[in-house]
Amino acid sequence: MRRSKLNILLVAILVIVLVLWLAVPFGMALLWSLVDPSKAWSYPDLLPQKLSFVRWTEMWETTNLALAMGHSYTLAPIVAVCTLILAAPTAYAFARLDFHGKTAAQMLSLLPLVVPEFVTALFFTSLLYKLGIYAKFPAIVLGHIVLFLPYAIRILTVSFAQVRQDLIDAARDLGASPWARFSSAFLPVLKPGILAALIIVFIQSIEEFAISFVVGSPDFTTIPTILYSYLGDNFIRPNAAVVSLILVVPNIILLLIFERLLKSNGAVTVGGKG
Amino acid sequence: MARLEIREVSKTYPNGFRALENVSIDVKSGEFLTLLGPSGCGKTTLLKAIAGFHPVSSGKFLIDGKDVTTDSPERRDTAMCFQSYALFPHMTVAENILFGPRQNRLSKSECDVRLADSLRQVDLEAHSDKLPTALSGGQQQRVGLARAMAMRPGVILFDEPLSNLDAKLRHQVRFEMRALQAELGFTAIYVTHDQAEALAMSDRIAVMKAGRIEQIAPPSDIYDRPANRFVADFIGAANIISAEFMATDTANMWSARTEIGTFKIASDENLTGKKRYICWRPESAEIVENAPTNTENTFTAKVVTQAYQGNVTDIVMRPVTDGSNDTVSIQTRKPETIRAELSIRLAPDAFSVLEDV
Repeated sequence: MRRSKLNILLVAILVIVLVLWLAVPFGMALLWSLVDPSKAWSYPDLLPQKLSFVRWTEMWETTNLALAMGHSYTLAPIVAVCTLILAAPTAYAFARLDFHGKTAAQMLSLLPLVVPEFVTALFFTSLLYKLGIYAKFPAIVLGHIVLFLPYAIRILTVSFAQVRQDLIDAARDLGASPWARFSSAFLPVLKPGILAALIIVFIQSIEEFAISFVVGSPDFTTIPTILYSYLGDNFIRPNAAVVSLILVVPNIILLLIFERLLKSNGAVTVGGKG
Repeated sequence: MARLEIREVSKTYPNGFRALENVSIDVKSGEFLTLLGPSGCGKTTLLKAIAGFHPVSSGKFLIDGKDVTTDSPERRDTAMCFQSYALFPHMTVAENILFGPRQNRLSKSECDVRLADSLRQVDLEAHSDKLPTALSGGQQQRVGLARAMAMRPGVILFDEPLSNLDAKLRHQVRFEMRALQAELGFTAIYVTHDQAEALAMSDRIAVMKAGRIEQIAPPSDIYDRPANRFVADFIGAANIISAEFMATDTANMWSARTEIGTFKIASDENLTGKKRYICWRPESAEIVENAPTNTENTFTAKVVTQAYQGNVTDIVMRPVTDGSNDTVSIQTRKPETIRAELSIRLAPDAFSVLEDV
């Protein structure tokens, strides 16, 4: 009895936290995006006096949101796949090989995480100009890869470490080709890690501002660069609400889809000794 | 089934550790050979080297006369049963068994035949569509064996396959495996540190220590005629003492002076004037009731402790003539004959003569 009461209490706390954390900001963003320009939403009104889609249509017509979305959603998948491919060999080495300076290399690979993004962005652009890379799209792709490699390396290192040597040996012993060895011993264990790395890098790339702004401005826009233009000096809360919803909603849908994919493969990571 | 020759194989690690030193074994076709030794003796290293996972520093492996030393594991005519079973967890029992034949691009009909044969041999037909995790440890081990057998390899390599099973199941699978090997006639190399397993299953046992083979012989010879103190001590219980042999007048019968008395010892060797270690098994000791003093091959000892085991009773004793505090172990089937002080007789053929002192 006491246990079930405790459970109810815990669930209640969880619900309250979720409401405060997610539902309130999300609801506020939604309400703010629907505020009609003719009737301002101000204290002491609890809800906007008049709701309309004026802000949405206005944003769509006055800014280049469609182009920015196009940029963001072509950047992100390319960045995600490239980062994954580049991270895999490093992660393999960290997880399964022994070499001198491994600990130092692992520390170094995480360094981009602690350097502020704007610092990286500023010096990264000067490096790009030195290298003669002026095209903005590939420059941002490169920047994002550098920025998000640590995440992918970290996640894949854990995955590679979980691959069982006895399964690799068994596959070889049974005459498996390199591909069969990979697909039978590695892939089932790596799959969740690969998906997780893809999602995280994808979402990070969609939301990244510093590099996109420093490298891309003024003509190359992504969703966050449009969003940031409504913050700061030029602060228009309803417009910012519209853009932030455009930014967030597809990410949430993607996350749910990936989560589904992960679950259907969940059984594979279990296993081993019975 | 195939013949495997291991010729003067050595393996030295870059840090200088010598895992294998000049190991040579000739395994006959259809033979069940066990590599037995304490952990770190090199038995698993040798097995993995036979499979092709560890390159050796020198020496050769020949399967049916063909040199396979430089062949990769994929190409060697060996199949391994792993200690961890190493079944692919995302594949069903049937898919696991078919993995090898499919990788070797055998025809569909041949694959089907091999699957059916393997499943029948290990008696798992009812479980072919299950995932390995749905099976018990013993069943998983049999899937591992079936998967190896589906390769129809010349040699099957067993890496402590029973060590993850509980004691009772281990006994049962021991018999099943031996019966299957006898029926199908595959050549088996079996690694274990369990001497009872080795004695029960093998045609021959190779006892290893620190990368070397100490003795290679059939189980009864290993037990009754150990080559040295290490083998005597590792296989079963043994009382090892040093003995000084004297000249003899009877053929193949020698008198030996030891700390616990003088004994007549049977041996084909010429032992005159030699100092050697000798050993005898606890169960070969015989309790003599009301023995007159100075009976031949008898010594007197005081009981230190005893442990009733059901079928036998183990007794630890201290010989009265021995100046040191060394004890000997004996076994008896008649616990009612145990007194505080006992006369123990050892027959001349109860002794094994080991190496020089």
